[in-house]
Amino acid sequence: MAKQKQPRRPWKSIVIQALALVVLAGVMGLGRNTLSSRPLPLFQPANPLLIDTVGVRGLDSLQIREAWEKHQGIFLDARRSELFREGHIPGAKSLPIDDFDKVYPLISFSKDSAYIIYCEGRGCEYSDLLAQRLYGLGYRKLAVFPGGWEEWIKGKHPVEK
Amino acid sequence: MKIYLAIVRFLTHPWVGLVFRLIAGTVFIWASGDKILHPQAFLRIAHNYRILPPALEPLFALTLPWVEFLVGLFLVIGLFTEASALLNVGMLVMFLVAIPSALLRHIDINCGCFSTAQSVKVGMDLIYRDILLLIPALLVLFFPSRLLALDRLLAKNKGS
Repeated sequence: MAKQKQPRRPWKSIVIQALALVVLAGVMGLGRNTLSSRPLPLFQPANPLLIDTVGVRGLDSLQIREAWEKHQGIFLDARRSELFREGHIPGAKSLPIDDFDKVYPLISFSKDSAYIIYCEGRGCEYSDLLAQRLYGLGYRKLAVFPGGWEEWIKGKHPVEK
Repeated sequence: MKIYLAIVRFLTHPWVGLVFRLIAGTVFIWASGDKILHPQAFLRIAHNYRILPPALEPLFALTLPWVEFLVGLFLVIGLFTEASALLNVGMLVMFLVAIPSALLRHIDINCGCFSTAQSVKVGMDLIYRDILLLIPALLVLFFPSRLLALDRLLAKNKGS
């Protein structure tokens, strides 16, 4: 079989095309973000979500399970109360972000305790919003369980109703 | 010497190049999907690496998955092949810096390589995997295959 000729483009042209691809990707990403019902705010730091004390930085449900068994933190459920009543991580307290102003003053949350916050799952940002809200009030021992209730159920861990 | 030349000839053969191009492209399309669908979760992962200035993390989280997707797509269809291969190599090098950096700083985090789910932790196996992926990526960059490539069609139309 005759060897195929493979002409090479000039490197300058390749780099320019690559930069154009990155710009196009940026436009597509920003465009999708603009059309999203929950856009990410740009040029703002991400939530200070994951703190050292509890050591549950973005871990999977097995490690969250360990944190739960060792009582490394108080679990906070950021979902609506109805969903909490239907089922939650045993021992978790309900602090729905939708009713934060109503519920927070009724329950005492010590700033010295560590909290592990969860909501429905990876697509849900309530846990991030609740973490941000609590951080703004001076809580520093916060962690978010990004996999949330979906991942806890998937891991067949204990549930409480 | 003969064996070495045979290996080089094999690795730079157009059909082998096509296979490498398709593999590299498919891997990156696959890697991009979940991150495009869950930008919030990917932002969290990017933040956990603690490398970028925090204010730039959202832009990075929104752009990188689409770069992966476009690079993957263009490699598969053979369009802007060298540019896509250059970005392919660039991203793999970036991962090969970020992952060891996380390991050295003892940051225990989800890799975020193919999924935003909490399933793959950063570790040495990821470094080995990315090094393996770098080999075909470099071959596609320096010996791009024009077989079944739109680049070839465009070049022909330009010529005529």
